[in-house]
Amino acid sequence: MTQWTVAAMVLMGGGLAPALWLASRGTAVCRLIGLQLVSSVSVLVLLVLVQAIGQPSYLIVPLVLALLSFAGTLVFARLLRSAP
Amino acid sequence: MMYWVLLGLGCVVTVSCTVAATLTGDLYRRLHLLTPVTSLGAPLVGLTVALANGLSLVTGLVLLTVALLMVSGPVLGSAIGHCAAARDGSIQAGSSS
Amino acid sequence: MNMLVMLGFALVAAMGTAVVFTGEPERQAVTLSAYGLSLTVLFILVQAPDVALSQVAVGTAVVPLMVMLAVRKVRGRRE
Repeated sequence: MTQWTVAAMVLMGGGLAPALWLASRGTAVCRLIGLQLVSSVSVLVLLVLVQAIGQPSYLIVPLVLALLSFAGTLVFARLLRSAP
Repeated sequence: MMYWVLLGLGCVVTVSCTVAATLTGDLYRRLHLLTPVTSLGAPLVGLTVALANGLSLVTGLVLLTVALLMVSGPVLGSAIGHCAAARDGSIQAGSSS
Repeated sequence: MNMLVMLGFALVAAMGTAVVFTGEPERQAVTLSAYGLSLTVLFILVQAPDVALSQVAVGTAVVPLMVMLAVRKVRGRRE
């Protein structure tokens, strides 16, 4: 039970869970805000988790996630804008 | 010992922002709680991981991820804000900015 | 570590339920993307980085493009 494990647990229980709750309620734009919050919090969770596991080669996953969530959220924002 | 304080501070910022966003009802007010996570919480956590690893390739990868997050956060916030305003009818749907 | 895996399983189960009980396809696509991210965290927790990487690609790039474009196409044809 290192400090990294405790930090990962705090970030998952107190950060990821409310963000996921936000992403599953309300209108599509409300959910989009929740999705953006989920992606930035999950990058942080993954960074801390990789440090807790102690396998630095896993670090490619948060890097790709930060890169692709940018594109994905932009696509969602563009496609939801023109919808009624 | 110094950097556990940084890690705790980053966790506190992130958790308080997400909980506040959950408790806030208004959509545009919730949008303002989104950027502190990327521009304050992410550098604190990334700095802690970087300090723990010392000068190595791992540190570079972590700092690159955090920099990407810090650049993309405000851009996405403004894009979502435009999307919400276009659906509300506050701005013209076809306006390019 | 065991507690973390259990927490990850709980989050994935809750999100799966939320996706199933969402009605409209547009809202469901956004929630499905968030479900993919929670699945990514679970895959890293059980130490499967390759699966997590492919889940990231599917959940954040393919779901918005494919699902949202399909929803728009179907809606345009129906009108």
